[in-house]
Amino acid sequence: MTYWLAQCQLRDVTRHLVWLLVLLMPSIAKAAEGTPTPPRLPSNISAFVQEDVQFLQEETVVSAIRREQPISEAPSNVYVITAEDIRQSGATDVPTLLRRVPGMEVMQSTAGVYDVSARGNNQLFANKLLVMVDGRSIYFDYQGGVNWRLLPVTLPEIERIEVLLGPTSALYGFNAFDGVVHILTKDPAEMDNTVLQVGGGEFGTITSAAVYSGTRDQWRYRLSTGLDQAHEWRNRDALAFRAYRGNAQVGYHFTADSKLTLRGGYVATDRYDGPFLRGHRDTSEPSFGYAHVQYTAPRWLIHTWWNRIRDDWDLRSQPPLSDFLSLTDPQGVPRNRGTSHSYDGLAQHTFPLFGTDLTVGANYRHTTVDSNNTNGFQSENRVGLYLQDEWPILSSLRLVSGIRYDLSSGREVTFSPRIALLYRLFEHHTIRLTYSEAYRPPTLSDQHLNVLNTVTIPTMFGPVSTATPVIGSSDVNPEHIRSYELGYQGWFLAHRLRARVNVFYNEISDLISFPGISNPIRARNVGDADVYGGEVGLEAWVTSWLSGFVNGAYQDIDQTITTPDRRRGPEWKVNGGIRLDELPTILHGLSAELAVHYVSAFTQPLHNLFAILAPFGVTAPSERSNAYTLLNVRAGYRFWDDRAEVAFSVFNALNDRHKEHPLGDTIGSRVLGWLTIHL
Amino acid sequence: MTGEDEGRHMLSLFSRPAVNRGCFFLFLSAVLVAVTPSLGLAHKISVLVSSDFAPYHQAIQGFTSQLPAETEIDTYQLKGKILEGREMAKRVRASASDVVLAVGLKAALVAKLEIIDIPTIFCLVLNPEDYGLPTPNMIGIRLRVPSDEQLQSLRSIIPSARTVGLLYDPGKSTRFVTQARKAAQQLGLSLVTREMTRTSDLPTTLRKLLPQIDVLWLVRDSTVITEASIPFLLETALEFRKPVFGFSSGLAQHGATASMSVNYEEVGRQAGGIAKDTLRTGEIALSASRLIAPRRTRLALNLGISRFLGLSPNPQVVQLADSVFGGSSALAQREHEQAPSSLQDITQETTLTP
Repeated sequence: MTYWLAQCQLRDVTRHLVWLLVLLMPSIAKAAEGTPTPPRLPSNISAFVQEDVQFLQEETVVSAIRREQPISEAPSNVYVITAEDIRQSGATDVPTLLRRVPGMEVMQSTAGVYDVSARGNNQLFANKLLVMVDGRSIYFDYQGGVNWRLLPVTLPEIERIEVLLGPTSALYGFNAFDGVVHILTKDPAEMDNTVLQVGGGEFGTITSAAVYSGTRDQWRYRLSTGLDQAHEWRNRDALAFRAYRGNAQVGYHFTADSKLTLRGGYVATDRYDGPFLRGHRDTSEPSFGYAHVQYTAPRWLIHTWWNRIRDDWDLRSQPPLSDFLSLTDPQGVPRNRGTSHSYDGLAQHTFPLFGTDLTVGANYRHTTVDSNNTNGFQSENRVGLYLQDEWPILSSLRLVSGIRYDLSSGREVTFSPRIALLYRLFEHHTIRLTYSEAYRPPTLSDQHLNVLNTVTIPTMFGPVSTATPVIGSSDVNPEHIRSYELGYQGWFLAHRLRARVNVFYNEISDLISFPGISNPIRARNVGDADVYGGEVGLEAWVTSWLSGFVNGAYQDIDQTITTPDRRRGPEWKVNGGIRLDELPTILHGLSAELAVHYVSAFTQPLHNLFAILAPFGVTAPSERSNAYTLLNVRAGYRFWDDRAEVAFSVFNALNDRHKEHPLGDTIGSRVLGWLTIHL
Repeated sequence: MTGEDEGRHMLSLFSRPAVNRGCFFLFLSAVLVAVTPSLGLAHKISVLVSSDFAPYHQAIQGFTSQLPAETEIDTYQLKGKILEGREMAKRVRASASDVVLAVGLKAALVAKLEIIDIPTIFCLVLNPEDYGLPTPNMIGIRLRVPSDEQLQSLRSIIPSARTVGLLYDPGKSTRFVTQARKAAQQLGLSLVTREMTRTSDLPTTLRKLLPQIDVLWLVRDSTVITEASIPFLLETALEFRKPVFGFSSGLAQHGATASMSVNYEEVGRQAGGIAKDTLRTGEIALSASRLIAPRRTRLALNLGISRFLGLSPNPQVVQLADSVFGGSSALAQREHEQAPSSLQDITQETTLTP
């Protein structure tokens, strides 16, 4: 950095010398001719013209919102969690923030493990939601799913989180099955030079971040680092997870609208109390590294990225089964050690076509895994081609259409269409009718898994062990979802109140699992499920200092699945929140938020072994999880010209001790203190 | 009474319907008081400001000077940050503001995205059309002096100039250049334009352009005008002995022959006038366009540079100038209080010395 600065200063000096020479040359010539001497320009002219330049600089940092629509025209099916929502929530992680989105399913099994999905399709080791950071997938392609503790971003860096429910492969590509969570980070020009944040409190919870960002000429850069940890809910002295993060980003703006951005980062853990599955509850030390090169211009998007996930699981069965069940690789090693790489390239161009903008894109992804649990090295290739367009049929009716063609190694071609009709009932009131499909092909793990389940049963002749191979299979169909959705969005009371209503019907078929009813246990399609329901929500901005929201979701499931892979989830979820900020007069600086989440009771199918081993003294926990209410509270005070803030937050302030999965930990309340400084 | 009984008693007190109703109505009253506009009393105006920048403050000063003293003014400073600005604009939307003033591009953009129903005036925005401004609830005052007005002034100051050179980025200033071409044609001037998409192209493009023109016309275009390029533009033009017609008095003070710009405080006063009318009628009084030209412009001359270039500006022009600088250093000889009336009638020729 010092070298670079020195280079810049050297360039400045050289530049001024050249100008001086340019200036002096004609002076010398004219003096020789006896003509008037040219006036000397002040050497510090740059300082005098800064005012003129500042108007122009304003233009260079607004490209991100240049094409954004006013709120009255914003799409009704996208829920946005803003940086302010994140700050005011007191949340230490993204899944806690996602609870406020109607239709999102968030299940915390242990202090470290979250499973997140949408619209009744949640499960342990959830794998049907695409999560992206700045346009790059962080979905673990080789085994499916997302590790929410390995997000390569610190909370103060996040500009907003966009949540789109329903299949969206036509727009977002591979794995956008139930929906998309897209985390967008702040432009370095939008951040203070340095942001330091630390939060800490009960259950060994620490969340911290240091972000340094800035701009220089056409360059923008950001460095961030953070440490997050928490202890077990069941044992407040035992570490549940600890993650170290580091990210770097540098961007060069060719023009106000085109830029090249390079990003890279690494997240390491020295403890993670997951993955958490029906049969086993492992501990591991995963790590995640990435690199991302992205070029954006008004009609172009080109990017390439690389993700590396390293797993090191200590395989352990769920405690009630631990005397009977062991999990190992084929050689009997009770560990899963593996590394996976994903390489992705995408090129997208937008053409004008009959007064509309047609977007055409191609996407290629290569994924590899090398693990003792997947028959060694395996790889796959995927190619996707897509088209998107928006057609104004009438002044009040628009058709938004897209289709994606996907080809995965050794599989049949799939087409994922998405068609939405948007009808403006009258000003600021819109109805949207959407039909969409998406596929999730079997992962490398689904195809090549090779582990042993060994069940040992005590008999009068001594223990008898039966080893059952659990084997992946390529002979399975991709999971498929077909979705029908009707939505309404309306603005009332001079845009102080927004109402949104959605009803949906999802046909899900060919779910992939490893049902434990055969020997060997093979991956196969276990059946179909129809999920139907709806969401309704109100958001209100009552005064300049008081805002709030309330929403609810209902869903029901019909299915042909009889194995423990049955879809189960709470029928009802209700969320509400109220926020005070920028209070008038002497209360200025104070802010407070109160958010409540109610989740109705539901059942979660357990592993077959609980029933099989019941005669041997295994007590199966109840499949039922009781209804629970989370009340999360935060209050803060900003001072030092709003550059510093102290706050406290209480998660589960009512201390409603509950389980979100029958085998999971009992979740209690937690108090945290926060300090944030902007320099 | 045991502790348990006492607890039960407290609970029963709290759950009494009358108490509940009382709490409910208390809360409701607080909310109603908060949301109700200040019933016929002082008007409330919210001002969104892009950043801490002197011209923005001057505009706000001009704006407030036009409003009745009892007007309540809430100022929201974006400090250059759009994200925080959007949150501020949400608060403005929920406030009881009668009018919003957005000063600068970022302020205007967050107002565009978040404020739909409150009459909004924006000013000091460079290329509003490129950002979808104004929206139906908005009216804007341009930052650029209209091209025809600039060219008329240019012709008055340097009547012998026939060929005017202009550098611009087609991605940023095409709209302005199209209007400028029409204006030049009407005034009998030849406009020679050169497109630039990268600042690094400036030296070559400028050196090729200068021999072909009589005067270099600088317009605000962020590809052409940067902190580093301004000295280069001025110095190279001097090297080629070509006058420069600029867009700010700062340029005239430091090397341009003349410049025409807006007076920021005057723009604020113009916005204040619109706000006053809006408060009176309840809606923005529209002229033919939602984007209006600045009411008064500001002419600056640098006589030292003129002398060097062999130009003898018409004394009437000098008399009409708002600022006259004697040399390239900060030697402001005079600052007129009043803006010039018109330069159109001044036709006495000055000469360009080869």
